[in-house]
Amino acid sequence: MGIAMKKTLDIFFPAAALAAVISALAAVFLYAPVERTMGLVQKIFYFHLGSAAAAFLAFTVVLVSSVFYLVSRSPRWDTVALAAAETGVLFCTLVLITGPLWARPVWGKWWVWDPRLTTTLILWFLYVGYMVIREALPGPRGALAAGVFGILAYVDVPIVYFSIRWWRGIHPVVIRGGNVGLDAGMIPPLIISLAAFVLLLAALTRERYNIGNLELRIQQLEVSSKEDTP
Amino acid sequence: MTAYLEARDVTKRFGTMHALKGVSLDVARGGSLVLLGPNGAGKSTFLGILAGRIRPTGGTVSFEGALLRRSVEARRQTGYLSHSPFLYRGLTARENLMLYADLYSVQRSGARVDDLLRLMDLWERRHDRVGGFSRGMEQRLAIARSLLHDPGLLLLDEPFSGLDYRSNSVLMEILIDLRGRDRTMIISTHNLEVASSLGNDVAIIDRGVIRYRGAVVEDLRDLYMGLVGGGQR
Amino acid sequence: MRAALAITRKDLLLEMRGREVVVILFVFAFLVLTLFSLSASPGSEALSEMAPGILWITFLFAGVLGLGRNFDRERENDCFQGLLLAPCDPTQIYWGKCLSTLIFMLVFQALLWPLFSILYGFSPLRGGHIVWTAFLLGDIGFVALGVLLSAIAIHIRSREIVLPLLLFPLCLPVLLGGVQCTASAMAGGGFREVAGWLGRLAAFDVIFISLGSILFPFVVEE
Repeated sequence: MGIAMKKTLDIFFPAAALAAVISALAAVFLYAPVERTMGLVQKIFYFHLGSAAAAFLAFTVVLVSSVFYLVSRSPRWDTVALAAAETGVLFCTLVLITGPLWARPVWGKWWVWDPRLTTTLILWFLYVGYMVIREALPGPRGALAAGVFGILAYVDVPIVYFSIRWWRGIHPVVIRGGNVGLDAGMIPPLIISLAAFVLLLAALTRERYNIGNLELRIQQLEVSSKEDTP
Repeated sequence: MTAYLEARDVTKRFGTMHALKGVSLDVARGGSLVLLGPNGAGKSTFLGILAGRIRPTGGTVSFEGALLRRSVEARRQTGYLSHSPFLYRGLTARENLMLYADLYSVQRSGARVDDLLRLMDLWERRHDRVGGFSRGMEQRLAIARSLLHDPGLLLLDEPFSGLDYRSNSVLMEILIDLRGRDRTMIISTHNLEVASSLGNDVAIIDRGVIRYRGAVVEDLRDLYMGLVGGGQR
Repeated sequence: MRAALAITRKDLLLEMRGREVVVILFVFAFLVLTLFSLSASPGSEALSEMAPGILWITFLFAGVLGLGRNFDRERENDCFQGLLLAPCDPTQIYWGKCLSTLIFMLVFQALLWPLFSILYGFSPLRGGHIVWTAFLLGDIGFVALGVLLSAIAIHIRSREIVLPLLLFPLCLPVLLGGVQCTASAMAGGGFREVAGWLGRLAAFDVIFISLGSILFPFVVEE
């Protein structure tokens, strides 16, 4: 990728994310209808689902770049995995904050041990664990260990989900059998906020990736400056 | 002809510390090379890399023309003695060797293990746990461990450290005998006498760089002092 | 297979030599069972309902402590590196250590089960082979993940905290399966009632063992 192209993308992602977030806010609060029973609190849903989509996408990026790292051993993939894991944990935390904010007035409880909630919490623990590995093991050894854990965690999530569902199974299911259980007026704001969160994820991950590369560069410079002085 | 073992421009750094700054060496089959250098010169790191225990930061090591990393054949052919003895303190001397005999698929392992225990003068203590061994006994057992599978390549890191006079001469005899049987060996030491009697080749290494590579010369001490500065750091 | 079995034998030998650890672990588990009994008011039904979960959480605690112990011995004298330098496939080391940890878990469970049944008020023979099938299948999954993560944690300074932090969330499916089977067996259910969960546990085992075998070589690579 040329430098000019890189520079363009560095500006494009944050700008697009900003524009999308503003339009999402406008769509959610000015356009979307107020839900009949839940009222205004239902609007959290747009951000909740947006964060969830972003987190899920980020963890998928962690999986893919972990596999690529283990196969190619190119530090770039490792930097991508780290960046995506951090932004993923951020959005997963947002899911876990927005969920209870909605649940408290609607279900009467901040938290219930429903399969989806439990799985999301476990997901959060897994990727916090991923970051603990990164923190505790610097260098190529940590990169390998994190790569392995990034694959393991991703594979584990559906298993955790299904095992909890088999175990006992209040979370609203929005999309079931192809029908969307939503008012037609809610769909455009939903799509816009999904897009906003994905763009936000892309912008943040890209920024984190650039920082990661700078960190690598600093390390290299430190090493070579030592080399010069015998 | 390709060298038996060949290191090309091997570098290693730990954090920002450069342990090896581009070391190239080759050893022919049946050759014996003594690595000389003061403490902290990078000898152990270099041997660790040759043994496949440490991953070099840069450069390559090849064994019989093939890249060493991930080569099961290279590991099968290598006997490696490091500063850590790789011995379980809760197992007896014999149990430790039997474990490694299984790992290295040694044939008739019982007899081979007993031979080595006798040779290293550990026969009386074979049923004692390694946890109770002195440094010298542990070193002898670690040497037996590295010789167990009759390796074609011996990488010995300070093999004489911790040995008493008697074990010293026993080990010297063993090594001279192995050299006669076409085994290749690289031995690190800071002891100049060992170098003169064992190597047909020496390499003097200091601060991660090879300063001299060639035959053992008469005035090895003068050469060493000249290059390394009396080993004073 | 010779290398894998040699490692299993070595681990078991060391475990026998350090028998006091199993005894201490047993007393620890006893304490955990006692402490859990305080979480329900005396004579209430809640405790016997929670019993299978309590049992499996105790297994998890004991298992992670046993794994930590096992890999501490590998750290001593850099023995683990000695194993890795041997000319065998790293997966052999993985399988060897999985098998020894599995046997360790089963022995521990054999000791704890009678005590547990006395403390929580039912016959130790209740559930019979179903309970043991559940233990075995649950243990396999736990061990497959545990050995893999222990090999990562071996290089981490605060490994005794990090290992459970990494291992417990991953183990959740195995824990749930084990609890379900044990609960059903304790309630007098037959194979038909638990077949679904036993099948799922077996499937988890296959997934985790395959993942472990593929990923272990990356973890131990120098």
